[in-house]
Amino acid sequence: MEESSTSIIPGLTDDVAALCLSRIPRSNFRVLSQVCRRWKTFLRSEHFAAVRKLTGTMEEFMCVFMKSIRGRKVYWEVFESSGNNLGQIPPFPGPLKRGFCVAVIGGEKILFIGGYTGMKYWDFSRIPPIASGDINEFSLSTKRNPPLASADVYEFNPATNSWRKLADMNIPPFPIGGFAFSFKSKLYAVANGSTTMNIYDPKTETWEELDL
Amino acid sequence: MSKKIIFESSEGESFEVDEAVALECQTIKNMIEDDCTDGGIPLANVNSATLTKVIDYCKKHVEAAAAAEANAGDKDIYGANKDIELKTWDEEFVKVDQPLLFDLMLAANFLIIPGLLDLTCKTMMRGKTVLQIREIFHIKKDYTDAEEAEVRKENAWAFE
Repeated sequence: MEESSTSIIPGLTDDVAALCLSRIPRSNFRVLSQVCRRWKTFLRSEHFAAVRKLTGTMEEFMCVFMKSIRGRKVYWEVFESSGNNLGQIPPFPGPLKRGFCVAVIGGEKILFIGGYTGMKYWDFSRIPPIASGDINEFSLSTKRNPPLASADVYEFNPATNSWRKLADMNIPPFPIGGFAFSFKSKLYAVANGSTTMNIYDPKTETWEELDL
Repeated sequence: MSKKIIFESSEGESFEVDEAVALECQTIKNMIEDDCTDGGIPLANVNSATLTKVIDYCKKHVEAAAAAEANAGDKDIYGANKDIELKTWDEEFVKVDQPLLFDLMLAANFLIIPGLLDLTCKTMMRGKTVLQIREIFHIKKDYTDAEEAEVRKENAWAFE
């Protein structure tokens, strides 16, 4: 932690300073982050998120997952409750994937699961106009570069506004698609045609397998 | 006559208030319930100026609550004349200089007066620019100009 000995707001105890900052809408955090390093770090800390939760000042946002027609771009648009677009979630880390799954865990964290890489997108500039859509793309690209299933799982934490890589799944489950969902704050992921389910427990940060 | 509670400020000055007013402070409420308020309550970290303001606030809000209750059956169709009046009063109340605002905030936190804490906290940053925040709160800018520009253009939804 970058926590220094200086107080967040000189003249106030840090707990009161946190209460002050917690009453400011999240849409102003960017401006507040410019004040100093301490504020920037503090605004993105789990501790501050906990204070906001406690004081009932946490806001709800709707994140809409967007994907361009050929899947070359994936991103999340964020809307506040009155429908104003606030911008986008920071870009997803790692290479662009297809066939991934998205799930929400614990009511607030977005998970980005599996998928496969290995497409060469520059190929598509040569696709004849009639050839569009995933199937064509896929058959074209596999000739050059067979898809590589990924066992990666990333988590987006709104409190820190950042992505984090979680422990890999035991088996990359999505070479040919699959699905994932969260239930009772655990994540379940199954590949199409597979008889094994990957179960992730965020508490222990580990995966286990369950035969179906 | 209602029961009186005596507060003692950090300067040793005594303030006598109605119990109903003192009950606005959760901390004092607990003390009253535990029956340990005899002989006055010393508030070593609240000075007289702040305590005067805090008592004003509590008094006003007790009165407003009582008035609201008395008029409960007699509301106009918009229902909230009193609320608007109280809100205006609150806004006037927090028009104080920075050190006093800080003291009020600390006192509200210590005495646990949620309304006052919320009011002062919200007032503090309202409508201020980064430069003003730094100046008013005596916060040193520790970013280089380049870093500051970086933070400003950071492509993060939370900070748009």
